[in-house]
Amino acid sequence: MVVLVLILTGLSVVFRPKSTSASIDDEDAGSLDYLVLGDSECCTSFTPMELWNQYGYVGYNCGVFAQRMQNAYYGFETTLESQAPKVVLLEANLAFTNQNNIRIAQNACDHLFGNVISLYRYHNEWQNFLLTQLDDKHAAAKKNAWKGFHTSGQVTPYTGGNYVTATDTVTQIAEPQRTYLDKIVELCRNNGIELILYSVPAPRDWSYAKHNGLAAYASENGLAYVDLNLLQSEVGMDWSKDTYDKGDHVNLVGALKVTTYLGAYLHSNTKLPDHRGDMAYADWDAKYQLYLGNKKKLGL
Amino acid sequence: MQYNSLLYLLVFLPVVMLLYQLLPQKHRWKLLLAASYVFFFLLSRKLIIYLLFSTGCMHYIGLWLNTCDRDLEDFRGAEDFHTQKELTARKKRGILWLGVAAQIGVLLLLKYFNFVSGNLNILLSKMSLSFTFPTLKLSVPIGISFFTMQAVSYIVDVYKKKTPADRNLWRLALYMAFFPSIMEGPICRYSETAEALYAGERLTYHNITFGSQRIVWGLFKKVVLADRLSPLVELVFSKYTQYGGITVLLGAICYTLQLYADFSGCIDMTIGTAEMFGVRLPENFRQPFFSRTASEFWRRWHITLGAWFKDYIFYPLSLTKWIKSMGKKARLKFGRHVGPVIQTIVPLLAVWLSNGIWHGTGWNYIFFGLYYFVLILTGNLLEPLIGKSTDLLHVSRKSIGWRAIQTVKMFCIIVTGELFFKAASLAAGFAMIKSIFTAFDLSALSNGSLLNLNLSVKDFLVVAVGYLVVLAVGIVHEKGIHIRQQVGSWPLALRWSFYYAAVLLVFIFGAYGGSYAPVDPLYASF
Repeated sequence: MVVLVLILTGLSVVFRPKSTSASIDDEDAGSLDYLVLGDSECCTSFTPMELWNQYGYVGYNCGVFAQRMQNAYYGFETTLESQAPKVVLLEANLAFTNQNNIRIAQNACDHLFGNVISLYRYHNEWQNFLLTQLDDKHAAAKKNAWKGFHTSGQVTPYTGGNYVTATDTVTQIAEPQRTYLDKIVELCRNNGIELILYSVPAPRDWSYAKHNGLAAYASENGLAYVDLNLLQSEVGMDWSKDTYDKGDHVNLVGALKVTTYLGAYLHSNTKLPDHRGDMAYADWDAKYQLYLGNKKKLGL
Repeated sequence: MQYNSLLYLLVFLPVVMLLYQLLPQKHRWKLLLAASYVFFFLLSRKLIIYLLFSTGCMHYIGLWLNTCDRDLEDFRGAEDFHTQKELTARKKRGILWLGVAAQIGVLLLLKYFNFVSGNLNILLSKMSLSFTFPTLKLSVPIGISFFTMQAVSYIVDVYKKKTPADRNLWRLALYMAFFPSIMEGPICRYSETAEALYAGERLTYHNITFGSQRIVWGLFKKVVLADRLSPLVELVFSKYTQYGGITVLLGAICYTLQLYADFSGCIDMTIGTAEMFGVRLPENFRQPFFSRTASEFWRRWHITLGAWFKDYIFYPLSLTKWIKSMGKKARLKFGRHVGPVIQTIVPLLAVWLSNGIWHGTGWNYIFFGLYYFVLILTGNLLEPLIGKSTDLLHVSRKSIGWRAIQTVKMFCIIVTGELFFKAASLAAGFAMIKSIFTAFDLSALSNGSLLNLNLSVKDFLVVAVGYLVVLAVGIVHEKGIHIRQQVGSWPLALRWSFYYAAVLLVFIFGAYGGSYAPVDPLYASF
């Protein structure tokens, strides 16, 4: 067992994150000014390249499908080892995702083990130094141009009508989501990061009661909370065109609207720097062209 | 808690092993029982009540049956012994049915009530009737399909006097709840497993190393191969209307391979864990893709399930008076080959309907069961014709060419069945099958579209090499060679290098963490 641990520790040195992995690890250390955290509601609704084009903001969408709050926290904590964002946007749907204590314990175990034996966390780096002749660097670059954004050009309308009905009912943020949300808040405070909670328009996942729960939490912790479900006309949502799965997630058109609104919000309420013209970010212009190509393939 | 999670492998299992070894031998089985109940509770919480009910019910039914036999012995030698014997037999049958009904009843209620009521409601609405059956909010505990079958097998074996009833409720509880096998089996027989469970054999170097190797092999199949295929499979099956032709075919093949690697990998981990404690669990897979007929496939795939259906449904039905009488009449009317095949229709239908229903609530599962019913029945009926045809064409059925053709044919049949098994619905399954043919386009093999299915070239390469390794291991096992024993005879340095390399392969090439979504064991939902 000791020999095995030594081998694993030794290999951990080799398996450090490198470029071309089309993930946040591909970004230059300390280069990102904002991060977006969340689950699939996040990664399908926010496209960082639009903010680069409109405001010169540099950021990354760290949303992961089916992510749980504790994983968002662990991922965020790990990302802060190499990035120093000024702003973090947290799509708050994962505050209400059901999970059991076993999954939380498993995640905690995985995270702890990954801290000790980093090979466990970065094992997939083998893709970056084995069989590199098979790499389609152009495809990887195109994938990386999304900056963590995942989307579909399909349209499958939501036909359920108005889903915003005001109520005084409050859905509390249950444990353990609350504990890990508190940890994210604390991590942001300790690192001088402005944390903004937000909710993407999502007829199937959102409810007014959840809104009340999040608004209460935001108020208790002095956080801004932007609920786009209550701002649909400002965002310009059209459920006959803006979703690819009957209202569960927005499609590319919907995501552009959401991103535009949030971009304007960040422009008015934060001091994110404009990096357009900055030679250190010249790569973002090239990536933006690839991003435009990606959008064109999806019909935009 | 998944068997491939670090929480299980590095925390739960080592703690159980440590405490097990520290305890005196006579108390070790109690530790296994406690650990099993903790394991079950962590996964299913208050639904543990169903496991307790099932265990308690089978225990008291077993004792009741034994009491009937003992009471009958009091009448031995008496004038009315034969009358008492008949009365006892009738009483025992009643107790048997009560016990089986209680076990199956709970399973049917939890798993199938909403499916049945939903379909009845559709029928009622088509008949313009306003009455509707309610839909219940029911939670299903982990492993209920598996432990229910174990409970029924125990009750029937006690009834048939194959095994005496165990007077110790807690030893029965361990048989039912043993943590390595509670989630996905294998489905154990009390008479084959009980003794080893309670023996409390100390942990030995041999058992730990052999068990660990089996676990690592299971991890390789589950984490490197099965979980790697999951993104492609989920994409193709969830968005099947966007795909057709080779893409859907690839999705079906990948699902078949994923299911095998996932299920057999978990079983390897289960058997490996049990082996560490000196408990030999029955094998559940024996190179199923080497099968040449549907019957053979089900003797190689999920072996304990097939054996259970054979022993507790097929044979009991086949031996009933009316089936035997039907068989006699069929033999007279249709001859010595077709007659016996006709005799098997009802038992086979019962087995395959049960098989389909056991796997899930959906018409696609029932179709899956009937699919194999038709295949096996047809195969049995056509057997003499096939024999005559091959003789006529001078084709040796023992030749490599013939066996290869049969194996490939069977693989196609398996993939088709699994497509329906995985499909969102029966209609979706038919739509996918149709799309394979209507949208078939060989250009998909060269235009790069197959690389837009969440798997990169390197992923495909890992899968290809990995399954070649699985194939090689299968060929070696088919020849009766015990790989772990062979490796165990290697020089120390070579042996341990091999072990470390195997562990590292899983660590490095496993599809876990980062952007991989966790994949629950596929059979744990049955």
